[in-house]
Amino acid sequence: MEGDAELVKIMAEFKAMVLKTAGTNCDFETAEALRLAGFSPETMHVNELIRGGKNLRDYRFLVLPGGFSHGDYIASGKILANKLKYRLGEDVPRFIEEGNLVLGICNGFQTLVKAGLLPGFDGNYKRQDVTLTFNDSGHFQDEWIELKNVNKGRCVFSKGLRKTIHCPINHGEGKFIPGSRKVLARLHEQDQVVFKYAGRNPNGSLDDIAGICDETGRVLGLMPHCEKNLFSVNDPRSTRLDLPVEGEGTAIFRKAFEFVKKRK
Amino acid sequence: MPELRVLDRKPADLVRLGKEAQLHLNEGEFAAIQKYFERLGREPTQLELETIAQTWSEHCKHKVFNGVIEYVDERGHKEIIDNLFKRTIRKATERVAGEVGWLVSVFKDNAGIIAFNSSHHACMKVETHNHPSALDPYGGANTGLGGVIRDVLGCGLGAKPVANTDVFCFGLPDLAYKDLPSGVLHPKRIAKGVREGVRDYGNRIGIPTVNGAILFDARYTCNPLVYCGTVGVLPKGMESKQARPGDKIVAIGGRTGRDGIHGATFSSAELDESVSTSVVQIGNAIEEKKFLDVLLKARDLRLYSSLTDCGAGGFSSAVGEMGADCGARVDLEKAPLKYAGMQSWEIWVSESQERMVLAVPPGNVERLVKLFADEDVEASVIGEFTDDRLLSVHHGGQLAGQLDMAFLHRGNPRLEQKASWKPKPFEEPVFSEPKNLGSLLKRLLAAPNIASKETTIRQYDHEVQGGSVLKPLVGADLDGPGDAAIMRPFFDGWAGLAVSNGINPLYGDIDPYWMAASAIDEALRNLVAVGCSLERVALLDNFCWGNPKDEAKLGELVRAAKACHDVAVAFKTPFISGKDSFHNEYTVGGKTVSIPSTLLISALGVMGDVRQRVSMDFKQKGNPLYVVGKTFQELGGSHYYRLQGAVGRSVPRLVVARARKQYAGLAKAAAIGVGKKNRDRVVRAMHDCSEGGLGVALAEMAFAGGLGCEIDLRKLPREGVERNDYALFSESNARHLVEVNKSKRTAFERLLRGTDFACIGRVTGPGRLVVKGLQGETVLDEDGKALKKAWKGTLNW
Amino acid sequence: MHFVEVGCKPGVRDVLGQAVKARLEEDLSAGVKGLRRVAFIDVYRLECLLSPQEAERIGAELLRDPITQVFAVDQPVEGGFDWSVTVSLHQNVTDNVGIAAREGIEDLLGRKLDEGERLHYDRKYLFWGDLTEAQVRDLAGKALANDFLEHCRVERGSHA
Repeated sequence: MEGDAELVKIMAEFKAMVLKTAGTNCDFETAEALRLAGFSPETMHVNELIRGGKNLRDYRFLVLPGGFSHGDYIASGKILANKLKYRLGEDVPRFIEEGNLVLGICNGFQTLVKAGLLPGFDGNYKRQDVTLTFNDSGHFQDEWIELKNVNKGRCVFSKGLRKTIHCPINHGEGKFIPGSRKVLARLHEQDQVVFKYAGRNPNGSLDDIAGICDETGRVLGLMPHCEKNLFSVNDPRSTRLDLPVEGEGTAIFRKAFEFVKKRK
Repeated sequence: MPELRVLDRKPADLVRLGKEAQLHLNEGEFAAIQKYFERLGREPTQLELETIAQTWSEHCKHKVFNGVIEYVDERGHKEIIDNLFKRTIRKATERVAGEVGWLVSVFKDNAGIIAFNSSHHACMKVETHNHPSALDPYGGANTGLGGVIRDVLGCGLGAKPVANTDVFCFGLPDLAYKDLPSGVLHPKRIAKGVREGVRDYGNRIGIPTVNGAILFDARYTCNPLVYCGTVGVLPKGMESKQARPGDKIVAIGGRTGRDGIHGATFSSAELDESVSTSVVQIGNAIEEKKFLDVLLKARDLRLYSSLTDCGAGGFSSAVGEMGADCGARVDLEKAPLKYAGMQSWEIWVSESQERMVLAVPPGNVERLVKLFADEDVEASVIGEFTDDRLLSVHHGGQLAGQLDMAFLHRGNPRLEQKASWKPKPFEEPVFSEPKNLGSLLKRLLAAPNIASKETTIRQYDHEVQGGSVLKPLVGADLDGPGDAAIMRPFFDGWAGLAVSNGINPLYGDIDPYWMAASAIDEALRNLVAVGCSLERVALLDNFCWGNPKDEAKLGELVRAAKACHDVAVAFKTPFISGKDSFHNEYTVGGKTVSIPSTLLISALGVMGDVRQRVSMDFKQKGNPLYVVGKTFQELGGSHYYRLQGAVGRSVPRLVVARARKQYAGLAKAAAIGVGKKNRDRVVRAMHDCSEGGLGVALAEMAFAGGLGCEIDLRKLPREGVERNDYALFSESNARHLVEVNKSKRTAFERLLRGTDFACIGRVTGPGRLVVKGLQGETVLDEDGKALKKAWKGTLNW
Repeated sequence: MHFVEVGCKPGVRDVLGQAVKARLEEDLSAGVKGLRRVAFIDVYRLECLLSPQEAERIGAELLRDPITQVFAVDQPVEGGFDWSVTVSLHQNVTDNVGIAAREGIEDLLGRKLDEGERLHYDRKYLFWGDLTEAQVRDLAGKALANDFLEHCRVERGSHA
């Protein structure tokens, strides 16, 4: 039908890639978050990109979901980060430079940081300037936190976003450490700090930093799992508080969709 | 290993020689083997003996439950029970099956399957991995979880795992090193190792661990128990499978090495100080996650006709089971190996982890292998299914072993067993009512079995897959003990699954009949407490017992199994799956210590609407508090008596008809206002009474909600209870504490009419737990924060 | 044949080392009072045909985090300790880290390793404190290694 072809064309314009590898395990709910926001998500194994079977250029939004890619062995996100760096060449930096969006959640954030894709100072997407390491507790932690939006406008995902988002952290290596005082200062000066932990800092991250973006504002990484609060029925406060049907985490994906839609 | 010759030997000698070769077969079994090979006119090969030993092991055949038992009860009445499983667990399900239309597959497949929603079924399996966990807690728990996950993966044509459960039983964590028996790891080391083993596997493979329990008793010191469960979902229409002659046998996942050889036969023997080391392994969760993803894709593409997991017995069990009705031929040189130099039988019975076996029509093999290879998973054709009804194993062109499938699966003689039961000689303790009930309550809250398990629970991921609606920790600060977990496995629709458990071996010390009844009631009342009705609830049984050759121990098993039948039928909650683990005993220096007979009941309930959920934390000051269910003088096996150094005799009993009526009323009450605002709900909070009775339940609801309460024991529905301490700490079954919306009392009372219920007090502002006693005086006035501190202080390591 | 050791940069909190120290003190109490510091070191044994430059690159680009860690090839990454305990898995026990490292190395070097080339991961604990060899062996056996899966090598530091 003509209408269907139109719909397919529109949906193709909002294709999002959920990139997975061995051990990725949050792709199911990440794809749902993208779908709710209006994207057409496709979950893709990194081998398909490496083999050349699929092309990043066909997508508008690249999402690296949470999980335990390669078991977190050696260091969390490191092996996937090296695949992006050494097997995909310039594909991801070019994807960013062409005006697209990248989001890394938890393990995805660890991957972006270790590949040098965040903070991407001076447009250099190969140099590692910060890291995410072991929580001060020394072990995996599962708890719900309040994520505070502290960005002043650089990051496209957080412009006009609600001030706080209630969502869980589920990680063992979430402590944010900048490479030096200079790096930390630059992150603040250039408005690349996007989210902080409100209240208690669960893992010892410096300056309570929970998420950062690159200089374009189009690449975001955060440790907390906003994609776990798509429906308030999953929000543990919902037996004590009346909350809207849609969970607070969906908003970040909606912001992404707004941005991609505006670009057309 | 030298070949074992069987033809010219006495079966009794063979038992001894077999034990040395780690083939734990009994006399009757060796006699049957002799007869079979006498007919063939030759000695068995090593591979054949190993195959038989694995397939006839307790783990695989459930010989105790399927054998014949001559049972003498306490009145001297003798009964011949031909197949305890068929006469109790299975019979209960058969009796209920007619009335419930939602059983899909029970006791047949790797997991039990029930109908879930219009598009999918739900399944569940619970297994134990005890003996390996005693030797290597981390690896044992790790591989135990990996194994039960594979059972769900191999359920129907493949189910997607959506939740894990774990229940652990350990020795006392403060045991002094000098009192530790030789050859045994310290309970705290075992506890930490097990916790981390389950954590590292479950978190990595991306399945949330959402329900469980941890128990401590000195008798588990040498024999810890590790129960791991997995819940899965599969599309309707994919519940049946059948390997067909001509289908290729394809092994997927990890390679084969010498790991875990003799794990299944190990289950038929007791642990002692000298144990072979090839039994322990470490799991590779990433390998399992890799093929999990691809398997479900291959399933949806209909590339294979059957599958099963490689668990105990490895290829021998997997191929043997799948080809049981037709036949199979395997060429071992085609199996990918971890290293060279393995003998035929080693490859065949290896228990290397993270492997599954598929039956694939020849035309689909290439496509299937490529699908797996694209995501770095090995898939190898190692043989094919035939129609000759034989299990033929070749290696490098030589025939390593060939067995008749009928003999392999049905040739084992049944065990002839003796059992007896006599009540234990415990007496009710006599002591006067203590003055300071507050400090007793604190001691109970701090007791390891009751104390907060938060330190463990917070190391598990409850959020992965985005489906958890009610988590294991609830309340204002997410640190209160949830009664059951609720999962919503799909983002469309509101249907969900509730998972709970019931276990209390202390009751079994007095009477295993009431232990089993109480365990079932506990699992069910936990579901009711979170708002799940009992209309569609399935049960799983897991028996961990001592030596079944001990008549008294076997008698305990008979009694527990009978209760399982009686209670499941009365509640109309059928069993769908179960397992047993025997010989949980330890011998050192000639002395044998057995675990207490421990039955775990797991319950899986379907909820039409997960928004019906209720959490146990107090919600609002001023709301009335109701008790539903009568309190009796039932402190036998209670934690309160334990504090007094006694076991007692008055173990909690159960009248199912009364409980059913209460639970139905509570479910109806929980259903009101669903999907609306919280203030439109009739039931605002609900919690069941179990260990530590009413006192502990009240304290938990209070400190989880950051609120207090005032109650009056004179209003408590009770019978034969005339002391305050007994009223507070009796552990009678079938009781709930309910916080009702103060503007909806009439609606609530109407729904509970005809049951034993009463309003006993109300929720108060933050602060204190105040209890008025049976004479009208205040008998307890404690600061909620102090109670919480006591509760959290014991297990925070 | 090379090995790469990876440890914490001075000034970075050694979370794993501290957790081990806390566990030893909490669980074993007797005999561990003299323990002043525990450091945790990753040891990767590369039984592969690699040039020294490749081993160096593997250490720098794959095995260590440039923000928080230092590494050394074919020599200890940190000295001055009193005792070291190196825990290695028995030969046929699944080495998850070794398996992952293999994939990482193949991605980095752009070539597949041969079947015969192997990678192993060991855990190395460095102790500073007034302990006898017997005490170190005792706590290694009780808390650091499980005989069924792994074996220990206890070595005296040059400092002791």
